[in-house]
Amino acid sequence: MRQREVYKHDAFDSYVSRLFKNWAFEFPLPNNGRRLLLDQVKKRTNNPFLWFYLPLAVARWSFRNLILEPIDIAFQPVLYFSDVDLYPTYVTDKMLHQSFIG
Amino acid sequence: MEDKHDRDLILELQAGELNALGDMYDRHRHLVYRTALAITCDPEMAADLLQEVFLRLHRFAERIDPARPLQPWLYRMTVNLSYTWVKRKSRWMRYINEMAERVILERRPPSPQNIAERDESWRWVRQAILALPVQQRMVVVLYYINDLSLKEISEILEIPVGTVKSRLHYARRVLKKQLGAHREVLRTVFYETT
Repeated sequence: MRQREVYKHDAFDSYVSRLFKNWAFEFPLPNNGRRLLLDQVKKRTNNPFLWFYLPLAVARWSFRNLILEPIDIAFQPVLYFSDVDLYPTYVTDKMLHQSFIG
Repeated sequence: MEDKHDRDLILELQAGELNALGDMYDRHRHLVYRTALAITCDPEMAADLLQEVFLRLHRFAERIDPARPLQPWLYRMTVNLSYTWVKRKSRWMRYINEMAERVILERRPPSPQNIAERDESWRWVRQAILALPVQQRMVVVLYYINDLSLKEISEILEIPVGTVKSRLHYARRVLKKQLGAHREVLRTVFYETT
C-alpha cells in the first residue's frame, strides 16, 4: 500500500498555512474582552439563584430538540411527482413498478 | 504578567484570584479566537466562544493540573465548543444567517472587519474552509494556523496519529481543488504578520 506522506511539509502546505494565517489575522479581536469576561464571572458567582437557570436550560433543550429539529427534518428536500421528467430513468422505472405495477 | 508561568496563574485562579483569569485571557486570547474563528468562519460566534472557553476555564479550574501545559486544554475546549456549534447550526438557520449577513454587510459602515469580509479574495478562503467537513476542518486549523504537530493534534482531538494524517490528506485534496484556481489572485493580497 502506498504510504501517505502528508507530514512532509511541501510548498502547498506552506502556501495554505500562510494564506490561512493572513486570513485569520484580518479579523480584529473583540474589544474589552477581559473586562466582559471578568464581569460575567462576577455575575455568575454572585448570583444566588443560579439554579433557576436549570428550568430555562431544560426549556431551551426541549424547544431545540422537540420543535426546531422536527421542523428541520420536515423541510428536507422531497421529490415531487410534477418533476418526474427531471428524474433519472432508473428512478422513474422504480416508481412505475412500485406505484402502478407492483 | 509575562514573568508568570501558566502554572502560577492556574494556582492563583484555583485560590480564587480573578485577575489570574484575566492574565490568562490576555495571554491566550489570540490562540482561542483564531482557532474558533477558523472552525466556525463566524467572527461574532468566535468572540462568544472566546468568552465561553475562559468561563469554562474558571468553572473547571479545580480540575486542571497546574503541572501540565495549559495550551492543549485550551485547544481541546475551543475545538470541542466550535465543533458543537457547527453541528448544532442547522441548515435553515445557516441560510437565514447568510441572508442577514448580506443585508447587514451592505448597510454597516466600513470597519477593518467589514473590509475583510467584503474582500472578494478572502471570501474564497472562507469558502475553501467551509468546503471541508468539520472534522477535517479542525485538523486543518490546528495544523496550518496553529502550527501544531501531528502528534499534538492527535492528543488534542484524542484520535490516533494515523487518523490525523488521513484527515489531513483528504483535506489537502479538497483545498487543492478549492484554492488552486485562485492561487495567483490570492498571492497579491498577502502581507507580513508580526
